[in-house]
Amino acid sequence: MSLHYLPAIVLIITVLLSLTSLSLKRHHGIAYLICGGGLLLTMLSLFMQIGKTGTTSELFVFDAITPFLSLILLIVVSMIWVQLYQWLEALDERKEEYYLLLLLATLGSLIMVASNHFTSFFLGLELMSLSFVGLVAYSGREFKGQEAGVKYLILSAVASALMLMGMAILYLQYGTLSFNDLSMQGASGTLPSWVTVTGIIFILGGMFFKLSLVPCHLWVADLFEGAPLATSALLATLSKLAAFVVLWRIFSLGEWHTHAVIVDIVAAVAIASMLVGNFLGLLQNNLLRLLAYSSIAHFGYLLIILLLAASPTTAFLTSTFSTEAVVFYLVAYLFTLVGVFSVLMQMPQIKTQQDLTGLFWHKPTLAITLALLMLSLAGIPLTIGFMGKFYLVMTAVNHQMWWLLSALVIGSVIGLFYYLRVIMMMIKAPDGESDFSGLTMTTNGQLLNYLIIFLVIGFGTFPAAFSQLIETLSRG
Amino acid sequence: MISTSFLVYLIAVLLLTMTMLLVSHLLNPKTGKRVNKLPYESGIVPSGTTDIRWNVNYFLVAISFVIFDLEAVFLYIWSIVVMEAGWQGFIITSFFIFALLIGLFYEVRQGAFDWGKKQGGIE
Repeated sequence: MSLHYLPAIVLIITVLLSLTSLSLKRHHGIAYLICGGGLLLTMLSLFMQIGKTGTTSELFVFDAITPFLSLILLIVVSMIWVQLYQWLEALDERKEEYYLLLLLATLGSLIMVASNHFTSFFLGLELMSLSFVGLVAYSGREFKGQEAGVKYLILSAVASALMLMGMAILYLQYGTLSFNDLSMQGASGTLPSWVTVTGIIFILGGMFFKLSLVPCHLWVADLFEGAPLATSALLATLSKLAAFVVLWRIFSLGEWHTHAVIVDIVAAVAIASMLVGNFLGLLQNNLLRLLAYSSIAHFGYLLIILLLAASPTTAFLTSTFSTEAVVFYLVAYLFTLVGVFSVLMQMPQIKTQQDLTGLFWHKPTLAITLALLMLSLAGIPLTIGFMGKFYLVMTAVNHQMWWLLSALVIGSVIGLFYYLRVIMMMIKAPDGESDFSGLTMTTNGQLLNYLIIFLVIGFGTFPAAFSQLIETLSRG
Repeated sequence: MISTSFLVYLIAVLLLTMTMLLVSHLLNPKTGKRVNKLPYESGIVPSGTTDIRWNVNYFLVAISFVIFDLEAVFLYIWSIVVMEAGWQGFIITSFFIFALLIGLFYEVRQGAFDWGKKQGGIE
């Protein structure tokens, strides 16, 4: 038992501890603190692993990137955790179980990020999805939340079934479920290659659902709108990051880009996601639905990375550059998104863009934070989102993927419209209809806002320190 | 690849099922009585609707059953290799049972097994 399993063990112990404490005595503060302590210890144990030599076992892989991505995940969860206490206090439900489900979902995503075998991947995925069902349907009296919960339960079961079918077909072909063995065997299966392609398409179908990419994207807006706000934040960050990391790992290890059909499908899905996501968001008035559509588009941009190996390269960049690009983009997007959600959590009564009218003149800090985050989502220079997009475009140019690039540019321009519209609503003169008197700023929230501004602008203006860290990690 | 007997079997299955459906459809008396739409329950006249709310306790007991059912399945597998798995296996299994024990404790404290009380249990 090496040091690498420590984060997961800490999380499991935290879960059991909080379960015990809440069966002995229900107390919101205790549950909050146990959850926070567990997250902190997990982060510490992950921090110790960064830069250490990794190992690979049958089920899990711990290379240089894995602990870093897990740490990013934990930071995102902790940023949501900071605001949970206040947010749950306002909720008319039992509060303590939320932390329990949150920790379990985190554990599932940690397992997924480190998985090296279809078994560990699937167990992590199910642990995460089932916890998410509970998190989505948490408020039992809200009709929309219940509807979202049922939708997520059924659709994630269908997606899991698709993925299981795909895994079974790949097992039929190669006789192994380990990601490493998939890469060894390459195209030399026992059955004709269309069997492999079928299996891959099944797995991609499930993955596209989890990432809400275009043919499987219809659930995401209803879910973001219906689910409790903190759950939407987790769903947009935790579940998508974990799913994308696994997809990226399988895709590159299994050398799926050698099948022309797969490359075509992924390219079509990427272009469709960029365009459809942005078009759906264009005239959207509800802020959460807008975020849902923007997340469809953003993961469409990210899909470009999967296709890099399939196209010729003009080698003016190092071979690890695509890894750096994907990590940087993911981190930039996650920090921005968690920022947006934490700002929204500070003003729970605001649902639509009209509600934001004149926010700047009442609560300037909140408005400035949200405006910066919107700029970062749109990819305007001096924000971290710009650097992420810059990395992405640079890799795509390097690999000469002009079709995807033009879709990315068109998508970004369309997206700019609705991101800027949010900012415009906030700096409009107050019309007297919007009522911000209920907004109370807490110290927690204020500190978090400053931290978010620091991250988004700091890393956007001086990205060198951060990108060098990622560079050394992806080489190591 | 596909043998002749398989083809014959396939056709026979299709024919048989279609004949059965067709004949029963042709022979049934076409009377639109109200009683026809009622569920047949050994000739007893049904009373009330089946669309009633079940107590959530039933669901909790079903879940608990599944949990301990699975525990038994895992323990059977462990019991086969108990000597080979050694102390490591013992510790892991103990941890597994311990985790389930905490879950059971939580369930009892939640009032999942408080049957028949008017107030109590999961509200």
